Amino acid sequence: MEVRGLTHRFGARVAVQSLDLTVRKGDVYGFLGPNGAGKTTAMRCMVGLLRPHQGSVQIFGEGHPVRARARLGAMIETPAFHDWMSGRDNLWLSACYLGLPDPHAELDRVLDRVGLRERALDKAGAYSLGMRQRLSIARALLGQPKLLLLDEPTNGLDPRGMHEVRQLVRSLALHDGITVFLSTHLLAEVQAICNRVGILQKGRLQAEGTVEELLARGDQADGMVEVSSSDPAALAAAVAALPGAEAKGEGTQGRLRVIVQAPLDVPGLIAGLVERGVPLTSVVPQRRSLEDVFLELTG
Amino acid sequence: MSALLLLRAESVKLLSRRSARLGLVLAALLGIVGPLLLGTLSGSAIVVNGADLGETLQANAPMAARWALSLRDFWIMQAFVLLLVSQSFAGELQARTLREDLVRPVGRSQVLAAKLGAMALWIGLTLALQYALSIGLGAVLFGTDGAWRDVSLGYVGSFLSDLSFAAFTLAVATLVRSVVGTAVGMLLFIVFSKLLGWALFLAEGAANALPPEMNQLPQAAYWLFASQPMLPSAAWGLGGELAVGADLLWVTWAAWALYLLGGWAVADRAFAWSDIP
Repeated sequence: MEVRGLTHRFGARVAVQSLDLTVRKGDVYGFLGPNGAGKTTAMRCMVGLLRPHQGSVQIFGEGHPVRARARLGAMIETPAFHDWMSGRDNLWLSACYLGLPDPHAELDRVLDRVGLRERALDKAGAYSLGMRQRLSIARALLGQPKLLLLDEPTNGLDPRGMHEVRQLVRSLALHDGITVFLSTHLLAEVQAICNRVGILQKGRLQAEGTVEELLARGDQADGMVEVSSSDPAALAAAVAALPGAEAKGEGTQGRLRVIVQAPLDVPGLIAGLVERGVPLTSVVPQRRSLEDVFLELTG
Repeated sequence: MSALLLLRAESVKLLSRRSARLGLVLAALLGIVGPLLLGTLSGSAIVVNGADLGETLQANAPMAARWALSLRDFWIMQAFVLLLVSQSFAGELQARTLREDLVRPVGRSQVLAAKLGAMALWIGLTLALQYALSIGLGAVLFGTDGAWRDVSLGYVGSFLSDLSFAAFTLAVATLVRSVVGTAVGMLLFIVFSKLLGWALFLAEGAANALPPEMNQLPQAAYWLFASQPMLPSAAWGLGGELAVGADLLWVTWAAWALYLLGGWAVADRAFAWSDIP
């Protein structure tokens, strides 16, 4: 999927501005951003629910929205169903819209895939939130799409439900070879299952790349440690005096978070602090998380 | 994408709605009530304007079907058409289920056509049910004499006028995008067109009653008087007119086509340009 210069406004408010992103075959792409960043608007433009004011979306090289959706499965925002119909009947309707004339085997396949076959004949209105999310994923899987767009698929799920959906998405990518474009708030989830990430803020893409590339961004690429001492004041003073070391506020368990930049390295930091007579009690190397990058980029 | 498959999906969905099923039951009831009412009144000793009603009324199977049609056309089934069209478009838009259909490889015009097609099927089903029951019961109670052609044409006319009404309602639904808004908008439109019809009828009568030397209305007033057969009430009352063997003016047919095609065109354009929540 190639998105180029995508812009959409609601009145005077720009929801998405000049968005460029590329989802390659086989990617599990994490689309991140705070609430109101424009993620859902961008996804609605991608599937043709909204007409972009500028820019283009190409899916498998196809720019026409109807033809582009032929190999696409999408779940946008909170799933909606005809609540008076069974889960299976809801899927049957979608299968008709996909042009599947005799979809019963396909319905069984997707219901099995999300573990809903036993409850398939229950009315959709009687489903729990988790079941509705799974039914919605089943609907997106109809017709064996090559690209799956999932907007907050774990929204409102309990930890077990979230785990199940995460496993399912991972399995879809690994075993079914489906390219996944996933919008979520759960950064740990993205870090666990996505290979590429885009971060949106106020309608603009702030960063895009592999998870490793994002984690290696900026001044923190050289290293971060958390240090504690029985004399915190002396520790703070020593860090401030050391070239290449910069205090970045309080870390976990009251430790001081320190960024170490070349030519200084972590052994050099420890040596410098000891030289200055700081009584160190612990030095904990920190691996930068996607959450750190996200917070940094989104203010 | 098979249009028949979409039509099938929309028809199954429509017929699974409680309101659509209730409409079918009501159509069947009207098919029974029409002949029974005719039988009751034709056997009664009621005198109207000095004439015995029982002798005035012709009781036969086609007349029974006509009575059933008159009951139907007293805005009873149109109310269901209004409800079902607004539910199937504005209701689905509000419930976000329309969005789920539109992420499939179908064009918006196809979706609208399938919805209108499903409505046409439902309208046809209610009329067929009502026709079969009223004719059958009428034949058993009164025999099979009568104007079969006229009443049959009346049912066809009702089908056409309800279809035009549905297309117009669909246009309103795509513009206002809410079930309540569609219902209120259509009711206001119907009331307005009725009032306009009455006003034109009265004004024309008053103008004709004036002595020639006082009757100097501008030409535009006569054009307005002549527009009465183009009003929605005339275009959507085809069935009743045809059932009594009336010769319809071509302008009424033109109005019918205008509301059908105009309604469709507006709905199609409005839907094509609208953002889907």
